[in-house]
Amino acid sequence: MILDIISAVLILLGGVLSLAAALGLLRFGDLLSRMHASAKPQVLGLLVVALAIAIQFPTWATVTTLAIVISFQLVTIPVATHMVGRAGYRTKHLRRSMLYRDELAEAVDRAEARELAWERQRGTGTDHHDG
Amino acid sequence: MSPNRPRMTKGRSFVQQLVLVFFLVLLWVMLWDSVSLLSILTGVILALVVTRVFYLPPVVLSGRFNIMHAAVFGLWFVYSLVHASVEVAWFAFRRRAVGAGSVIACDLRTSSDLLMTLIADTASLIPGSIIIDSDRALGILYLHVLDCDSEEKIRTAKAQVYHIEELLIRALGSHRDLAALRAIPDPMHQHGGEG
Repeated sequence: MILDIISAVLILLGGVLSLAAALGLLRFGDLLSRMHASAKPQVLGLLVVALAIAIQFPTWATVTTLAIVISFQLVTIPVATHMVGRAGYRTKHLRRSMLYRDELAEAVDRAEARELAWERQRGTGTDHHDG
Repeated sequence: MSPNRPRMTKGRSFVQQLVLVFFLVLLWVMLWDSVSLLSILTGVILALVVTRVFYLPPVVLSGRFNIMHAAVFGLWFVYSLVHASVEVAWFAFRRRAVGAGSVIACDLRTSSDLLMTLIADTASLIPGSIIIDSDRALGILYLHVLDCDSEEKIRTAKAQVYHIEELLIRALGSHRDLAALRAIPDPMHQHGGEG
C-alpha cells in the first residue's frame, strides 16, 4: 500500500517533469535555451519513473533492464545535446538578443585576428577557410 | 588484430581490454535477463567481435581511484540533478519568460582527455548547462548556460564547472591533475576575473 503510493507519486513527478520539458520547448526563446528544456528535466523524469517501476516489480530482470535504460540515457544525452548545440551555434542559429555574454565568439574573434595578422605578415591573405 | 595499426594497440594493456570485454558481456547478460551458459558464451563471442570491429582509441586511465571521493561526487551529482531539474522545470512553468543565456568559457586545470570528457558529460547532464564546444589543446570548455544574464550568474555557473572538475580530479584524477588543483585552487581569480 505504502509502496503503491510512493510509486504513484514518483510516476506523477516524472509526468510533471516531462510536461515541463514540453512546455520549455514551447516557451523558451531560442535554440540553445530549448536544448536545455528538451533534454534536462526529462532525465530526472525518466529516473523517477524507472524507480517507480523498480518498486512495483522488484525482480532482477526488471531492475537490470532499467539500469541499462538509464545508463544509455545518461551516456547519449550529453552527446545528443552537444551535437545539436554545436551545430546550431556554428550555423548561427541563435538569437543574439538571447545571449548576455558569448565568450566563445570572443575566442573566435581573437583567433581570427591572430590568423589575419599572421597571414598579413607572411604576405598571403588569399586562402581563407572558416573553421 | 591486423599488424598495420600497431599504434592503436599500444598503451592498452591486456587488463584494460579484459575490463571492456567484461562490461560488454555484463550488458549482454543484463539484456537477456538470464545468466546461463548460452548467454555468457554468446556474450563473450559478441564482445570480442565488437571490440575488434568497432575499435576505439585506448582510454588513458590515471591509475588512481578514490572510492570515497567518487561517492561524494555521486551524491553531489544526484543532488544537483534534482535541484537543477526543479529549477529548469520552474523556468518552464513560471509566468515570466526565461532570460537571456550566456556562452561561458571554462579554462580547465586538467589536461586529461578522460577527465575533460567526464566533466563535459556531467555538466551536460546537470540541467542549466550544455556543452557547445571544446578546445582540447588548451583544455577549455565552452558551455551555454540557461537564464544567465548577470555577472553574478556567470560567476556561479563557472564556479559549478570548476567544482565538478575538483570533485572528479579528487575521485580519479592523476597526481599531475591533483598538483594542478593545488596550484590553482581558485581559477575564478586566476586571470583577474576574466576568461
